[in-house]
Amino acid sequence: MTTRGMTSALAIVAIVSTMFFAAGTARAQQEPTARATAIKITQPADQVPAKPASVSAQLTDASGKALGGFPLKLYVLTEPFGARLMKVAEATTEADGVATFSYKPTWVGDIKVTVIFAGTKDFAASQSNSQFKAVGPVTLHRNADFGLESIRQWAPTVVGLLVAAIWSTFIVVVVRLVFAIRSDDAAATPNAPRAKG
Amino acid sequence: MKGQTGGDASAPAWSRRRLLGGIGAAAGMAAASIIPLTQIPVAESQGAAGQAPAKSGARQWAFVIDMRRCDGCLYCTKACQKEHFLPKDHEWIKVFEIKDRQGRKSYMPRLCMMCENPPCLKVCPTAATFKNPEGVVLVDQSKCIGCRMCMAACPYEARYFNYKDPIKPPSPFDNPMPEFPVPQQKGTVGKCILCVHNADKGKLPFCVDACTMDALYVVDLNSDVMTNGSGETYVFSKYIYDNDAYRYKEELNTSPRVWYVAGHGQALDF
Amino acid sequence: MTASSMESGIREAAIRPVLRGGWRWWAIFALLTVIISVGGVAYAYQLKDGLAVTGLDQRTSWGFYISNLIFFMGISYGAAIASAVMRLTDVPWRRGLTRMLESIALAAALAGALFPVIDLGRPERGWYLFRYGQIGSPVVWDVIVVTNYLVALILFLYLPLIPDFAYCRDQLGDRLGRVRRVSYRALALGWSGQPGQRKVLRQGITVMSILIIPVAMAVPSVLAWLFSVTVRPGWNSTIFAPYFVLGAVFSGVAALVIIMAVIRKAYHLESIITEQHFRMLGYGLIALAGAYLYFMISEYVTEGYKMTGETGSQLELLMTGDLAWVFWLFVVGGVLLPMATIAIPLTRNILGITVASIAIVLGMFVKRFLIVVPGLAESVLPTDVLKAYEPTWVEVAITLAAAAAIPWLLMIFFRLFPVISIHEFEAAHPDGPPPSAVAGVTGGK
Repeated sequence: MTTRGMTSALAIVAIVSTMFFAAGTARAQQEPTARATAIKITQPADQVPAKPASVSAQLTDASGKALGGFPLKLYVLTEPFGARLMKVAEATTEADGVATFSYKPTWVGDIKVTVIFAGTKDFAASQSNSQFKAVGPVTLHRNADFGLESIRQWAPTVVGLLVAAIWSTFIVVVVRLVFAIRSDDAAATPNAPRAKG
Repeated sequence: MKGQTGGDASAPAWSRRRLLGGIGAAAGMAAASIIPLTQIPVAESQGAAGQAPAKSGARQWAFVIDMRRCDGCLYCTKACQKEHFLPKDHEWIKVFEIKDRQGRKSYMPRLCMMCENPPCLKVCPTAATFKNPEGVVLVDQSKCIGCRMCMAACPYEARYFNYKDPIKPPSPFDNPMPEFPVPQQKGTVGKCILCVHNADKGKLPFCVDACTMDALYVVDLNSDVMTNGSGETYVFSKYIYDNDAYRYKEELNTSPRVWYVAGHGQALDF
Repeated sequence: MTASSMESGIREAAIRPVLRGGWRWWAIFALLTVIISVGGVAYAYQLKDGLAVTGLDQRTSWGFYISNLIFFMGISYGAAIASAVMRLTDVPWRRGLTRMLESIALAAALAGALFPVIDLGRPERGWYLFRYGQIGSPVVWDVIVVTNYLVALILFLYLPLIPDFAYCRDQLGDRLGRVRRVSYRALALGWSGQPGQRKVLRQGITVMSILIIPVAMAVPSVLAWLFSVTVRPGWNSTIFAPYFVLGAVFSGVAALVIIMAVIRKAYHLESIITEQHFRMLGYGLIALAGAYLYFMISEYVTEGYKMTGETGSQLELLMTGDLAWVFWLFVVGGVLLPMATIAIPLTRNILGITVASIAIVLGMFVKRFLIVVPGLAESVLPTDVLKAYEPTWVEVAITLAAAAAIPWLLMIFFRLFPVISIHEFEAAHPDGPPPSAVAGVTGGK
């Protein structure tokens, strides 16, 4: 290969590489990587009564600068059928990056929450977990009332009394008759017709 | 030119890349910033959040059916029949095809409504039908005399009589109990049990699990949580309010625990 | 002496069947026994294979057995109530009939009270009704009232029988076997006809007549509530209890007419049971038919005006749909034509009234079916599938066995005790049976 050819080849390679490198850099620059964000759950305190409680979380970027005006979602972890997150509230961060959710715990014990930022074009998604306790009492589900409770309570007693009265009458009728027959027999004269055999 | 790491804001927040990325980013921050709540010891015997022993009535089971999603595939019926070894005429969850006057079809699944004021329980002469502490109406087939009064009384036709000897299931299933009445007993009545036997093990009812359209949800009224076969979990009271859910024939004062979201399968037309 | 020869005429007529049967008696008895045995075989088959041998399915879970329960028990307490009312209102021409009525009541009760057990999926657990019985359940109510009723009925039948047992003990003892002699003696309780005993007996019979009316009425009411405490179409009606009571008395009196006609011929009681009896009962049937029609009209006007939900489609099914021919056959052939037959003087004779009563009884059987089965077959859920209920030979055989059991039991009864209540009849007609033209209407107490 001639020196000239070599130089040209190298130049081509250099140019092409530079082009690619530039293109690559340009690509990266054309599309800035979404900036990392972070969430810090700042409330509640270690335990809350099972009433509407505040859960606060702050959204910051990688450098710690608060990000205001972004939507955050609060999820609670439910575990009876495997770990499943249930969205319970949404809130938008204020200028100081803090979003405050109102959440009323529906069970007593550990509440594991997750705050999730879905991310935007400019900011990466992030989430954070936290855990606190809810202390009772919590209002449990109450079955619907059916009605007429007091009457239904008394009905069996009334019916029972009626049935007892009926059976007493049966017994009285039979006993009276048997006694009447027996006493008549006892008072009967020896000549009165008696059954044979 | 779009990058592979698409910054598309409408992508679901769940996409794994984002999650891992987010967790990775947050992990470092979280370690420093989370208030030392995790240092509060969690009583192991209580188990994880919200879990409680089944028999104490800490849960009150209910159900939600989203008719916007039901496509009448009958996977729920078949799964239930398969897992409980039921004959074909026992459809503990039964899907009705409803045709309107223009001939358009929609589907309505119906299972035992687990009424809070169940007519079946009231008329049972031997209390073979009873309600467990979690509000699930069950049948003790060792007490049932087969009078079928409950079948006449149920306004939802949700009960089935074993006219024949049932299919004999393979060997581990020979200890029938109300919570898992397998095998069924001839001459007694059976019905949906809301798979309470599964709930104790943290498993979903078979129909909820089998529903590929995610139309069926199981609900705990105490913790106000509803969840379906693919993990969609909502706050129940908010969901039924937002979706105007109703209960079937609730004017009969049975106080059923199955909520329907009205629909005709419209969620199927993506 | 005319009086005693007349007396012995009544006694003779009443006692004759007790003494001997005759080949005809045995032939009929054998035939009925065969029919009942076929029913027994059918039930054994059902015990073996379960209720799958019936035509029942998941929708129509009650069928012939339950409609038969209503029908046969209806005849029973209808007859019992009729007898009690006749006694209390002192209807003069009742005396030849009360024994028959009470016996019909017992025979039909024995036939009908078995049907709930026959219908059970687990009959061997029937006693659970007593062990685990829940007071809120209509089925348990049924057990309570039927037990009450059976005891009351046995007492109601037995008390007026005591003097007749005494008569059999005294006059027939040596003509019958030792077993029967001893039984009569035991059952007569030592009755000797003293005035003191008579008084107590009369009081007892009056008390039982009063008591048996509510006790007997409770049975059809509870049976009606088995249906009307549910929300099924055609069942969800507040009128059901009175409806069933009336239907029961209606079918009970009609059954009495049929059996009266048969017994009159078979036991040669023409002089005691006269055309006047039939006519009186016929008038009663017209009144009862009219009342039953009134209840039906009341039902259908209130339901038909609104035509709501499944109740509306049920009415369509019954009146203009697949079951229309059965329904109108019942209305015309089972109620209206019999009414006309009895009303028209030309046909108001023993034959006419008996034929009308047969139509009434068959019609009521069909009506019970029309109450029970369409109410279940019509779904209350959004499905338009209406499955026809087809009873199998098992159900038909058992039904026929129960129908045969009533005459079978009556034949046995009237071999054991007189078919006419001798002592009551004689107490009212000391000069013998009144002339047939005015049988009991004017004379006697």
